[in-house]
Amino acid sequence: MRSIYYLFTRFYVLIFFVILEAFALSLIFKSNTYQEVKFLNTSGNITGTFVNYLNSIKHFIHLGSTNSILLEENTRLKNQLYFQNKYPSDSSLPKNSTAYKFEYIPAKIVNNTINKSINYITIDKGSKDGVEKGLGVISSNGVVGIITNVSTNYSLLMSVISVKTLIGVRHKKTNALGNLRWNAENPFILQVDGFSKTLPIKKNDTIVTAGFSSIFPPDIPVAFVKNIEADESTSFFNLDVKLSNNISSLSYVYIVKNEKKKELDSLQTLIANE
Amino acid sequence: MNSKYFITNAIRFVLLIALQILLLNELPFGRAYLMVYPLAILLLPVFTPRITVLFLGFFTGLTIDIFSNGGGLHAASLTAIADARSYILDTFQPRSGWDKLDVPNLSSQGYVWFFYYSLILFSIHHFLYFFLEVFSFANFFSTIFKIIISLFGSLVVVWMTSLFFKRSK
Repeated sequence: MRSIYYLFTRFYVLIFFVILEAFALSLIFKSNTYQEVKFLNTSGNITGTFVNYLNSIKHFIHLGSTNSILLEENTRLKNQLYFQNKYPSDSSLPKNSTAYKFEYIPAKIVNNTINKSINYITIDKGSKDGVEKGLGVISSNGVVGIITNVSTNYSLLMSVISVKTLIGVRHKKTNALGNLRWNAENPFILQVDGFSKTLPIKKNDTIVTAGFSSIFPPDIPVAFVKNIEADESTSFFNLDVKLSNNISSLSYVYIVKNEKKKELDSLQTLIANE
Repeated sequence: MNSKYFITNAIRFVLLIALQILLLNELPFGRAYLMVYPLAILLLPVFTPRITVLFLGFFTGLTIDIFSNGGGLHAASLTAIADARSYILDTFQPRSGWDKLDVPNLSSQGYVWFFYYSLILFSIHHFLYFFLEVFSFANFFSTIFKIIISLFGSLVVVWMTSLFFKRSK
């Protein structure tokens, strides 16, 4: 007994070091798969309120650019409305089809980073506004990310500028399918793979969402092709693409809620399990 | 004397955490991510009990984590240098040994000493942080590059603040 006591008094700093370090590491491992609940974040109600308060200053600085983005969107929507009234059958918004029924919840960005390997954005809508884990988030001209944590008033989303990003995309001209990823190098340049070398892909071509995942509506613009490189070991292209929206200066986003998501997902897991 | 040390250190912790959360987390430095808060641990008086340094490191890291969605990254890397600090101080002690009231800062230890002291501890911190963040050795050189530019930026801020608060003798 005395020797144990002696050991403890001699090495208690080391013991505490191991305990604290192990605890911190376990937090990292837990938060490493984004499905897991991450409890150290700015979507908590207290920290969320605090960060929201601080962010009001930043919003004020960005008012000018936010205004012009909203104005642009407004004009576009008005145009769409005009065309919809003119040709009621030809709807360009992927709102209500047989497979999808989308609902958009507007939200304000409270906290945003782009300089990490996995970047999170906090928004001011939570479970009381109907936000759930796994929903997609888009801005007026591109995709933003996927919701990973929800509290009553705030939620946290993993932005597309993350090494864990994997979004099904489509080349708009040829309808070929590929995957959007990020190699953690430049926060404005993402990578797309899976396009066959036989396809006529050119610079500045538009990449849009595939719309198979029930998270994002189809045909939302994602990025523009910036650099084309043929992978010598496979028969696919490696593309560098530039995001269509500037995530670092976003202020307002839309959460996409697909009312048929549960039905689609349960059906698709059924197929996957067979 | 003790309460004076306590108050200056408490203020320094609050200011550095605020600097990190309010300014450095927000500024767009491209691929670099500047972290200056380890300075609070570095500048604790030499004879602060090791266990106190350890717990201060852990909880400071946790605070930064909560406000920057770090998920334990800051806590893990800061706890590591809170422990490493005592070994570095033992290795780097003056010829006559540490005095009871010594503080390992620029004013009392000199430029060269502080340069090496901060360089070693910040390097350990940044290495741990960025490698735990990507959690792989894929893109090894890209991570190393990120570490080097972040480390350089952080250290420039650290040395500038140290020079600013330098007490003339």
